[in-house]
Amino acid sequence: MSTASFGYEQGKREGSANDASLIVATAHELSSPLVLLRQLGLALVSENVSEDERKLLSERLVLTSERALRMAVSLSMASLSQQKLELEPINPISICQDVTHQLTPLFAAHGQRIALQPRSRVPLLVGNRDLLKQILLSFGDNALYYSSQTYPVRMSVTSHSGKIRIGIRDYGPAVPANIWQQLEARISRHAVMPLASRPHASVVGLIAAKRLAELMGGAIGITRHRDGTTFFIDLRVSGQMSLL
Amino acid sequence: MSRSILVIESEPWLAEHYQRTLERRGFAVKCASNAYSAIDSIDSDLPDAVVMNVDISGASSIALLHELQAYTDTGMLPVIVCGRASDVTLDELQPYGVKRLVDSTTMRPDDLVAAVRSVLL
Repeated sequence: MSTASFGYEQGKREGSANDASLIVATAHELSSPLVLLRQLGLALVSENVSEDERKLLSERLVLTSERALRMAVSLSMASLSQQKLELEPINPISICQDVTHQLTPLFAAHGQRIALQPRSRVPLLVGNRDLLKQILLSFGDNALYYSSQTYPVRMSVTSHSGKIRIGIRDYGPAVPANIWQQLEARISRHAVMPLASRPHASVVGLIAAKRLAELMGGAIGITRHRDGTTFFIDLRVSGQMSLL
Repeated sequence: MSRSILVIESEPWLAEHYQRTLERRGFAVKCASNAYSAIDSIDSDLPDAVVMNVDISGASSIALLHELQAYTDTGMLPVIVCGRASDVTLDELQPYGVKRLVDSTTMRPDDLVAAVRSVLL
């Protein structure tokens, strides 16, 4: 098992991908769900579609639209400035419950499952609820095809060394340990091809997640397992309890 | 006997849609979600034609096309690629044995059927 993480200072040293390249990459990625939406729409209006098929296609249209919209929201949030950001103490379990609840219909429609690893008491973390939720949704969307009923994508919350780590563990193909550096380098070269091992993973979504984490003073990273990967975010533990 | 088509598409709902479209026109369709399962499927049962997305998982689509070209039987397989015409051209793909490029951003179900029929003539 190996772990690598990327924080704000490291991000500043490496510099950001230029905006024009990011636009190209975003256009490339958004076209995938749009192609699917179009084909689902064409199937829906075609002849010989039974009522059951119509219902199924409609559900898929909605779930695919929601997934594309989540990507768009992530990108718009990534342009926020640190000064405008409000940080607050957040219960990590509650936000994980929100995320699993929101993603469960999409996972179920693909015959997959996402679950939260039970944990009773975890300290609060310092972050922005909307940004954190967006990061976790993005990780969850990327893990969609890499679980099963027996081995669900699993969200976990752990605390260590004054930090809270929220991880999303999947059973997909390996990704490079220095994935974010590679992705930013690739985008700056206008090389917008998807990850070879995971064509469904949103390259732009991962870069947006990294920026959102940095805005909250946190860091994201990966732990590689023999049979999958955990994408995680580390954020500071809230010190408010020490004031009591 | 119906002609057999292998659809190589990582997005399961899109694969299902292509499968349904082709089956309704009388083709026998199998699906593979990545390059490795595609090779397994071709090894066990050589199809009459292959329909594949450019963005597939595992080895890249170009690596898979290379692999198919490397053997006499699979090298003759007509391949239709579904991809964004803004990303790739037929001229770039023809050296890899690709016979048709269907633009996934504008294609209609009948376009896929027509492309398959045209390579099986």
